[in-house]
Amino acid sequence: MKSALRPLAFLACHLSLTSTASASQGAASQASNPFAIAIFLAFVVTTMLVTRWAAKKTTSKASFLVAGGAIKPWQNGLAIAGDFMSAATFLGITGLMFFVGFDAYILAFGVLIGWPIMLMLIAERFRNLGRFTLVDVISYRLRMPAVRLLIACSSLAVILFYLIGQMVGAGKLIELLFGIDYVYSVIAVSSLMMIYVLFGGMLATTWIQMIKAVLLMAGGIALALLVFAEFNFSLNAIFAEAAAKHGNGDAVLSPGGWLKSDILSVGTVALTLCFGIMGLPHVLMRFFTVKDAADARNSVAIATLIMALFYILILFIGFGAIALITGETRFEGSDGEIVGGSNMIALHLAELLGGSALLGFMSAVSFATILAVVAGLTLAGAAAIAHDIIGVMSKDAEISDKVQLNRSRWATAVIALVSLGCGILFENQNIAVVTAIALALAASVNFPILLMALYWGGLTSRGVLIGGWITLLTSVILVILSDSVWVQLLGNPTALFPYPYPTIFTLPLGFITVWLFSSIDTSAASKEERALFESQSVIAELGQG
Amino acid sequence: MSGNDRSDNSASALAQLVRVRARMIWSLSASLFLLFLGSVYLMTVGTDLAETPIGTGSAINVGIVYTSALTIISACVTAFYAIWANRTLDPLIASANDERAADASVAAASEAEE
Repeated sequence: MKSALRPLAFLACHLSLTSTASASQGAASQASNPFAIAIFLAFVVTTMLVTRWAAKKTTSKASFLVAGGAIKPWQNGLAIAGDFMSAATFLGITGLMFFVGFDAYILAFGVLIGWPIMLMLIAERFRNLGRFTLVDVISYRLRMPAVRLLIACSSLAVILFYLIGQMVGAGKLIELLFGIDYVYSVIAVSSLMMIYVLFGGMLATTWIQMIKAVLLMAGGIALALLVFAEFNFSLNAIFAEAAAKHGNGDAVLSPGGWLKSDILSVGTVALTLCFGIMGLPHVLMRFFTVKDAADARNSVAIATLIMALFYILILFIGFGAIALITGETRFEGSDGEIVGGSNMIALHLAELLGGSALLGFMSAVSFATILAVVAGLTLAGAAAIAHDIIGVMSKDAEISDKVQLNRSRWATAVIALVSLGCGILFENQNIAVVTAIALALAASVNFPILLMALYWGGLTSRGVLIGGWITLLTSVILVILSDSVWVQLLGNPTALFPYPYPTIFTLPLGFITVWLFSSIDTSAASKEERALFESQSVIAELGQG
Repeated sequence: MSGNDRSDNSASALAQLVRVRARMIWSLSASLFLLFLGSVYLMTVGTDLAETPIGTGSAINVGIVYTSALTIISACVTAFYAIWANRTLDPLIASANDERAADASVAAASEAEE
């Protein structure tokens, strides 16, 4: 059973970390590794200095939430890449590849293919139509408050589920890496993150993400080069050795090890990864941190190039780990299992090839990356509460900027405390569940509505409301009926919904229901909304002018 | 008279922008998605093809080559689009914007005359 559940838990690795059966097995604590401690302390000191500098510039709501649009494209590109090249991606994909081989690579190329599509179809229009959040863009012509509320709630749900996954993963990882108790790990992450975001806002968050992205790239490149050097720079030798060492033999290099070549399983994972990123509020919000649509375009392009390099490196690191770690008895516990479980594979590889210095470096970078990602998520959550929900209810224009800034800070504190509480509460929860909900909602609700809002003049508030709620509820119900909740949480023998993500059904459902209920909407409001599409299109193409 | 000319030009500059951009983004996005479906094919019904080594004695197979090529193609399309848009779209956007501003001032002037 455990092995059957493993793939599902691993799926969450892509964006957060597995909590299952890893910390408890592992005694690979880095508490005594001076490199890890020194590098991590250096990171904390640097980021605190960055936060102090950023705090001086964070004087308005716009500077707090989107750094006043003053981030340069290369900086934003690094930061966006940082959001995705998390410790989770690095540790999670490597770990999954170690066990199931080829299939794990879909977690890399599946996401990457979504980036150029998002760049071309969404980034520029999105930047031209909004100022702070996804809600701004969708409500550009759909002005019914209930639409704002629906999108704000679905954004908030995506952020919170995602954040909980990160928090639990962070607690487990830090417990494992540094030997700090789980609860203290979560508190440490929350406290540091709250300091960054509360005082430094988006500017500090962006710089922290940039620093981390550079560190992680450096570590990834070093590790990949060391793997190559072990095999005399022969790509073929890496794969041949991996096939020779792995229990599945040549099959490890071929599809089927994880998703069993089932078309619906592969399809639902593929759709979730490719389109899920296009509905993630914290990623979309980054488009507003730059000056204009051209800068948004260039920052997404830079981010995609960095991620492409990283994901190619992951392929070598993953198969290199199979070739080099398999059979190394020092990384096996008395039960023959890998010490520390799947999350530790990449770190074992670092230790094997670069000694305790590289291990310490990679451990510290892993911690740093979690901090940076939760900071970005918290800021997006604060924007959803302060700007989308409270801001609209109380008509922002009439309220001073200082009040709005304070409101955003309070919202930050609320999100941080909620995620801290949930992190502690859900310690033993399978985080695949929460991550599955987050991604499925982003791909099934946010993405179809966003794409139609940008490109289809027939879209109406009523269509978005009815279609959006139907899709949202269907997604949640299917997740509940899936293995991760129905079997693992509720203890039923078999899942009523047999796929890890509902996306292959709910994404088309989102498009069809929103289209259908918009098409049959003949209200007076719908006529006005349709009439606004032409002027929206001009702004979307040209900017506010 | 000149006002009318300008508005025609503006419509055509904007229309040209919309046409050029739409043709590029939808065809590239659709191509990428088709290539992505190719990987879904290799991971499901086309596993035999995916398992085929790229040469005799080679451990590297079609699946590995295809998916890593997909990663590289994504990067190339990204770089191509960004460079193309910076060179081709941005000047078009600038001229359409100039005309939009000119139209607005003509409209304001004629309102003032009336």
